[in-house]
Amino acid sequence: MTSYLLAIAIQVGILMILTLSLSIQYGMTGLINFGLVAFYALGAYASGLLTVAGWPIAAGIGVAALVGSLASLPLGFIAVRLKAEYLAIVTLGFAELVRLVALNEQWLTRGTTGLGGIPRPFQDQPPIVQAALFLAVVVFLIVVFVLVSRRLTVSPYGRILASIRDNEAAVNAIGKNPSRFKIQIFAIGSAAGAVAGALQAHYIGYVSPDQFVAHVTFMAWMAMILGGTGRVSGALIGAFVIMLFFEGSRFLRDVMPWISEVEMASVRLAAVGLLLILATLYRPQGIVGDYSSR
Amino acid sequence: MILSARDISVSFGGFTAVDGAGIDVAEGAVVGLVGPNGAGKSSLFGAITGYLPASGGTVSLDGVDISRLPAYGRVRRGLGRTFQVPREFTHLSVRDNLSAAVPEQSGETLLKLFGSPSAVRKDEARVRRKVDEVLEIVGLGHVQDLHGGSLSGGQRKLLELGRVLLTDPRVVLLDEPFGGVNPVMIERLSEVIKSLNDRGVAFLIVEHNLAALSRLVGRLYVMDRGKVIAEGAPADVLSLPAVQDAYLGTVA
Amino acid sequence: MSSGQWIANQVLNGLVEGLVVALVALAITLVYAIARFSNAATGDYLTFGAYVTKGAATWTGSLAAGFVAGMVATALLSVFFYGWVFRRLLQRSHVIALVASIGVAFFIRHTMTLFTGHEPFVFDVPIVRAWNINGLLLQPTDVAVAVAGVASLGLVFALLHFTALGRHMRAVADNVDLARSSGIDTDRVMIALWLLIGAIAAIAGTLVGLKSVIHPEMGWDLLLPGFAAAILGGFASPIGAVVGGLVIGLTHELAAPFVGYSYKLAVSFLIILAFLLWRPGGLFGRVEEVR
Repeated sequence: MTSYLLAIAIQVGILMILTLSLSIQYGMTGLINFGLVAFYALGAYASGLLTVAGWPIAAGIGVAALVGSLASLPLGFIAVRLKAEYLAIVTLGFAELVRLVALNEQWLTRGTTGLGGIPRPFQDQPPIVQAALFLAVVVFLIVVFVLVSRRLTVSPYGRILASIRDNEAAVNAIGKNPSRFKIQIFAIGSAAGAVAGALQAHYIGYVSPDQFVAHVTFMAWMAMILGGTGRVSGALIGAFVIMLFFEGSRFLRDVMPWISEVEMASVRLAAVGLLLILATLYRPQGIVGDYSSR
Repeated sequence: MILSARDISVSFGGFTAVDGAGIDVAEGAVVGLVGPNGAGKSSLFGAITGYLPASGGTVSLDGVDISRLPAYGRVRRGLGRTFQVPREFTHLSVRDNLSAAVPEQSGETLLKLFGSPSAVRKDEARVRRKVDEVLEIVGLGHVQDLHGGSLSGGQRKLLELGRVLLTDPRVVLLDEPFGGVNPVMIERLSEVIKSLNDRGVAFLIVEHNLAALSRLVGRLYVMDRGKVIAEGAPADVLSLPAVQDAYLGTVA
Repeated sequence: MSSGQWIANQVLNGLVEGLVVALVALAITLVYAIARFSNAATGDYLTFGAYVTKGAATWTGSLAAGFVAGMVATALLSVFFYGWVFRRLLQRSHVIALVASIGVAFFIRHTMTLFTGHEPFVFDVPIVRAWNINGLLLQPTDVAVAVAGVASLGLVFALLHFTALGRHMRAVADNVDLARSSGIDTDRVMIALWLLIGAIAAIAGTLVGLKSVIHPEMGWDLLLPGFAAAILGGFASPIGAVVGGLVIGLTHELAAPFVGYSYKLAVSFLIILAFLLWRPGGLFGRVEEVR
């Protein structure tokens, strides 16, 4: 039971980091990232490949963050010129592109076979201790991103972010370049997404393209909407509730054993859809935040 | 000339809003810009401040061509502006509205924000002092903790003026500063403008209230249909037949 | 095969693919015109239509009957989600409607896979050898798909331009308030439009199914090309959507040998990107103030 709870806690933690990533991007500047999974994948492959090649895991995670933010830059430069909706479509396309590269560049990613043998930290420890230590790492990184988020909002920097949310034209009139702030925030959020991916890779020990489908992105979106955008605590609570719901659904099979695992997967994903619909209909404050007029 | 705009043209699709208009503002001068609705004043303003793309012409500030700079870049060079409908940050306190406008803050760069918290703290003290000064000038000290959105129309105009002042402008473009403002507040605003002018800030003011404007400006430009049709001392310019035509033509 | 023949073949393939993309883009554009959001569920309407057509065709033994059933069912599905979700989001931000449409997409697709599973289906059409016309290879199914695609586009445009209902639809798409004040029953027209959107998606789904296979991701995979075509077409003009679709289809086929067939989809992405860099507000984006 303990190992099961630890496993769930780790998954919750990774989803929390993903949700924080969206919460930083959308909550702080209104940038819509429908391609979050792309950064998650980039982080997983970056850290996976480097550590397989012998790099230490910590370095792998660090490089993953760097790769995530660097990959976000070209998108960021485009993002600041686009209407919010177009950015949504562009990021959706970017996620598709990254998945295609993961599938087809066999020399790098081993294609559909996937990249195995990714080192897992604390391997010399007994399994429970190993999982507990891994969870500690996850929690530590959550704390880091929460503190980063706080520093970004409660500071002169955050004053400009709030101004951008309020009236972008007026930010130009006080001599500040809104695009600079947006691109930076997009990069920081993307780094968080990549770190989540790196953690997942080291937890499972294996990455393959089928882990990086669109519903990863929208699980995080749902968590953010449930928790309420623009609040760090909201992202954490939302991720927790979502994971509770999905793990809880596992027990459904104990009650209804005639449902197969494949069918259960369909039910879960249909539920993602249903919850997204219900959230937009009945929990508008979760997504509106400061962006009701956009 | 502190500000010099030459041959500015602005068009939207097929419609030419500004057609080769030019305006000069001398160092420390207060200049007015008037004309009937749709004359192209706002578009000219937009082109000078970088808010609208000009299809032709050059803008120079203190002899330096700034035509290719983005709007925020022009502000940094010393070209401030206000908006016809004030664009204060409604969800920020009056103090934060002003603090945001202080240039070159350490706490606005990621490197210093995370790398050197003490420098950020020290810089915040500087920001506080500058904001205190400006609160004094515009007389909004008593409402500094209120949200920008909860101010009266006149107070918003003052707040915007204060915000522009914090960007260390050499010349400020005011877009209808007296529009929708009661006479007492017009008086207040005029005083603030004069006192800033005494400190060497030049102004270019678009305004429909000719009486209030005439008391401030030494020189007046009149625009009609995208072109400057007259310029000179206010009294002389306003008595010109062409100017009277332009005005009466639209009023009647 | 000479390079001329090769190009001719790719162009032909591109046009056929383009017709399908055009239908998707048309459905996206019509939604955008009346509700001002990008409907990410369009692809899954298409998938739904293909599955229903397949099911009904198998049951009745007639592809035509299946086709009609698919169109009717998808039209009803489209109206159902309008009534339940999108109608209530009309007054809210586009982002909310966009997120909701992603929800609708997931909901449709995975409710469907619960019953259909993930194994692909094919239509029972006789396999015919390609016609060879002077080195130009013509697949009879492609010809059928192309004819059906052109015919459906023709019907949609005839409906939009030559009927009273179509005039009302265009009026509503142009300006709902104006349409209402000039006495058009906008609620009815909205329902008619969403029915039409569903039917168009079902046609596209069936055509894709005829060309290749029916599988749960078929619609989602066409979403990106569809968006690309809609963006190229300016997001507001049905004709633009069709032209955009053909352009996307052609570029896919002509670029595929150079970028690799597996990267065909990436071409849509690059087209969107290049186009939006050139025209950040889309084709009909107006000159706006610096934000």
